Amino acid sequence: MSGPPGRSAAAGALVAAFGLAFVVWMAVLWSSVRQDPGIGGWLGGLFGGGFAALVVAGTGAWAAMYFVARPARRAAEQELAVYAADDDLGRILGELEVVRLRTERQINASAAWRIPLCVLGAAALWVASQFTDDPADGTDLLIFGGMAVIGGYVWASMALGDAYRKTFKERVLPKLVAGFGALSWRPAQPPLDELRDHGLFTNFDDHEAEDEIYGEYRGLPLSIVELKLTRQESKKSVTVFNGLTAAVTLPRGLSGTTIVVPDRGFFGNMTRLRGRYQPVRLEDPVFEKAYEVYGSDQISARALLTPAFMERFMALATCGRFGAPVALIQDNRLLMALETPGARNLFEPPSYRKPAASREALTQMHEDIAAVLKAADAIIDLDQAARLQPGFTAPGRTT
Amino acid sequence: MSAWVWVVVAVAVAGLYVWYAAIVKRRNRVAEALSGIDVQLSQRHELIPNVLAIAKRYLAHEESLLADIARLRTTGQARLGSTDPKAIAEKFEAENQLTAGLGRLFAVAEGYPDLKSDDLMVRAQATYQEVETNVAAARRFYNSSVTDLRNACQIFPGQLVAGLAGVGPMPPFFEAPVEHRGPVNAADHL
Repeated sequence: MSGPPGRSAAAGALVAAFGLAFVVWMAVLWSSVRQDPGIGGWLGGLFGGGFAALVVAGTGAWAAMYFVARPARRAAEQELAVYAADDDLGRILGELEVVRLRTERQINASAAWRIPLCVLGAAALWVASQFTDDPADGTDLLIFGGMAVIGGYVWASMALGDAYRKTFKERVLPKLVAGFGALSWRPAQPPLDELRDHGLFTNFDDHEAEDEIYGEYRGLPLSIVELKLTRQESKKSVTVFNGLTAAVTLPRGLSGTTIVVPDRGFFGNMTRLRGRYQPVRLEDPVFEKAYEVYGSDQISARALLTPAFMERFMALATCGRFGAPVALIQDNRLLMALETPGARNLFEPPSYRKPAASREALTQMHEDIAAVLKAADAIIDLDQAARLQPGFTAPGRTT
Repeated sequence: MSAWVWVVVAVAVAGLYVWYAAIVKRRNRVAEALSGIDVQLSQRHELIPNVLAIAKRYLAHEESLLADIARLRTTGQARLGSTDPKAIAEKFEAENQLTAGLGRLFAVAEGYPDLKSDDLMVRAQATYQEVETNVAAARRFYNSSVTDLRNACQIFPGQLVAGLAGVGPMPPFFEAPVEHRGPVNAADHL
């Protein structure tokens, strides 16, 4: 007959904690006798070390129960509840809760030997320092120990925590996004080549992109990617762009390539694209002052960049939600990069330490999707034909 | 003559040449813009017979309007490709009349629910809107090119080199039809 779930892991963690307590006792005793070889040193080491060992053993026992035995019991209970859930998202969240508790248990089991190992390493360092001219004192031992505990936990949790985070996104985000229309989520496929080849952003050497929302929105093919572009500058990472790229196929008959980038002044503009594309001079003096437009087809560029489009484009830049946008139009495909200065990472799932069905985290993800689609609305509304796309009805904003 | 005089003469000749090259480039840009307008106007002309054929089924008693549009199309079609400033101005005038005629036709169509909801008419109207957007874009490109050419020719020493660059009378602007020139605040449509 098998025992309660997680029992062997909890027993292992208890043994590790008691072993660690014994090591701490011996280390303090040895250090005390070394500093004072008399009876005082022996007594101080025995009682001081004994007290420290009791604290370590007690903490270890509590941690073994809290982090190992209890999650195992909850996982077993949750596994039974999953099969009772009839709602699709509820069932997914139930399954994820099982994964989460298993992850938590694995992390804690892993931490049960990695933390003591790190603490032992720190203790060894501390002991080694006793043979130097400037031996570390008791405060240093505490600092070493604290850092070892944190380091051991991070070592144990990083890979497993990331795997859980990825699983959560893959399972939950497509469901949440589908609540907004014919849309879905996938790991990001950022349009890096387009951004670089057409001179929208050229000076980046690394990128971070996790999430992409794609599908049909307001009757138009849409793809939105959360993207961060960086470059290495004398051992420091400099952010070149941090925001959203949104690509939408407009219901138009445009041809050629048009590029809209912020004006960099006379000399800055001279280095840009001049060989490949012609500058397009537009009638709006405010827009002309703020942006440079290049294109392969003067008429197609103007067919898109109507006075109303330019006005809305500038309104988008000054609304406060985004930095100055840049745009690339290839035939009917409009790709825009909207800087979101100071924005946090979007679509972040709850930590494995929180329940999978955390209302707070799910609400935040839902709000993130709504905010991103609001940006898509602003981009679609730039073009009159896209704005008046027949058959458009406001998308449902409920999950 | 001293070396300085030669330097001044060389600089003046170089300056005149640069100006001459700028005028030639702008003249060619106007020609390019003009041909762009013709391409768009051709598309408009190609669309009109289809629109008339659909409208004829519902607007039998609007025969004179349909005939007017057909006549204006024929006039406009004949003027495509003209490069003489006077002929260009006449072409623009004819096209503006054609635009006004088509505007009247679509306004009349509003009063005929069957015609308005006819699938072919709906598609023809959408195509017409796209063509009109392109005509407007071509017009903006052309007017911008004409402005550049005029500036280059009318600012000293442009008057001296314009003749050499083969620029005679200035090409006319392509103004929008009178009914389209009312004040529009784009912010109202945002």
